[in-house]
Amino acid sequence: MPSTYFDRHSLLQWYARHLKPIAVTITLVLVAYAAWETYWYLRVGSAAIKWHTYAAALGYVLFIVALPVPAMHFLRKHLWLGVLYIVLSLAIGEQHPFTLVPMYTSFINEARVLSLTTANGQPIALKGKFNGHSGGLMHRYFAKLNAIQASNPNLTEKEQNMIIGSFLIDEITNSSLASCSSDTLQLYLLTYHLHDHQLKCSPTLIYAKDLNR
Amino acid sequence: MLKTLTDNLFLSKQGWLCIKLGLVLHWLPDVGLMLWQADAIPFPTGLCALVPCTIFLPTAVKAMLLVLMVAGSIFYLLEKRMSATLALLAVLSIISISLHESGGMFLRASLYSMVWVGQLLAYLIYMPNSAELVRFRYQFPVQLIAATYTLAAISKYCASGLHWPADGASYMAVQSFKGFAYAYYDALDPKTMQKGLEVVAFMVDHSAMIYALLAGALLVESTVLLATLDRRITLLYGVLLFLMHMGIYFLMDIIIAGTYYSMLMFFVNPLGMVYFGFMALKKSLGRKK
Repeated sequence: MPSTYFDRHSLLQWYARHLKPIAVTITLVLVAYAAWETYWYLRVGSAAIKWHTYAAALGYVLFIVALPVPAMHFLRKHLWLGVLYIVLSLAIGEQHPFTLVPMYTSFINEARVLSLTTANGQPIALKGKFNGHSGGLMHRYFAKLNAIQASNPNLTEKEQNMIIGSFLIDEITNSSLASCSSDTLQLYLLTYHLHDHQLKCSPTLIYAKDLNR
Repeated sequence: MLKTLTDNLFLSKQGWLCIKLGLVLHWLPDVGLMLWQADAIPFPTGLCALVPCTIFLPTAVKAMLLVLMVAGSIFYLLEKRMSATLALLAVLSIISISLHESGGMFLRASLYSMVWVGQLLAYLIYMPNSAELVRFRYQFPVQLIAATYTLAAISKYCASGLHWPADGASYMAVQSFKGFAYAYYDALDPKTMQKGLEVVAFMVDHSAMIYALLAGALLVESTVLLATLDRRITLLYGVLLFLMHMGIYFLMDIIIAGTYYSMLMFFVNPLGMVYFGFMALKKSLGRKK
């Protein structure tokens, strides 16, 4: 009884039968291509790397992976889906269900947190009062920042923060759980950094809204 | 002995049921909540960048999708109509997480969808009741989980190169504090802020240890594809990744739920550990009597 619904190996069997002429052709083409690419790389640097460079590299990798040797058979059996997911994720980027897992890929001496306060700067707890939480607010801050930078790259940081602040405060006050005893809501961007082994905080008021208006 | 343990944990009927149960127990509440909380699509991404996802936002539609999630989970646990069930669960997962991320939230839950896709591929490719199906319905998700951690390593090399552990030893304390600051501004509990400051002080004072831990984590992520080669290596990497996630939790107050729970179920199978541990204990007590 066959174990699969279709014969997955027919293409590989054809490849194995004609390996010698395929290998000779690929080697001749690749040697000439690599010499040409090296020449241009030495002349113009990384600008020489174009789509066909990646296509040639991918073709060569496929040639190696398809080799009819036990090691490659083993790798094909155990890794093809994982490798396919890696290649597709690198090509497509951060679009669910593909991902580049970009969390904490670089560490900088700065961490930003949003704080909601009353008119006199008294912090207001987000949990229980509003339909959100501090981490979620920061995620939305960055999502809005990315959208603004893509659509309006010439805005200053202050102008960007004004737009984001207005968007976030509206979202907070429109939430189903919104209740606040203060007449004015202020949104602060707190920037934390290390200085002489001590944690320092620089607050910036990015938006204020009078709730009576 | 280790081979028998991993065969029991990952391939036996009971072990497979434990993996499925563990996955459903985390996926259903996590992704169900993501779906239920979605109320707007200000930043369309994933599926919502391709189709108008506003059709999923009315409460009645969300309730219907939740009912389908529960029904699909029950069919999945009972191993009924697996190809159709897994296709349904994969689509529901992709819809829910795309809706959630389109609201501006990024909980990095891609693996929650991909583990369904991996199992679906196994059920589509291999004949029912074949030994290959038993092997690859488990091994395909393992490949996808290992691929996700490999992508994490690739992203780190691209953004920071080999300096990542050194940069982390200098500045990870600031990023760690962020998690505690979030928790503080949620509830304004001064103890949370105090704990965050203590963690920062600890990390600043022990930067050599932080460097070693980060270098170890990067090494594990870089070599995790080895876990696909043998179930004993899978279990070893499961333990190493579990320790890495515990470190992230204690130092940064973060659990990357979609990645962590998927990895834990397919690399370690804790429910299976408890089940087979209990059975071994029962057997040894029976012998003594």
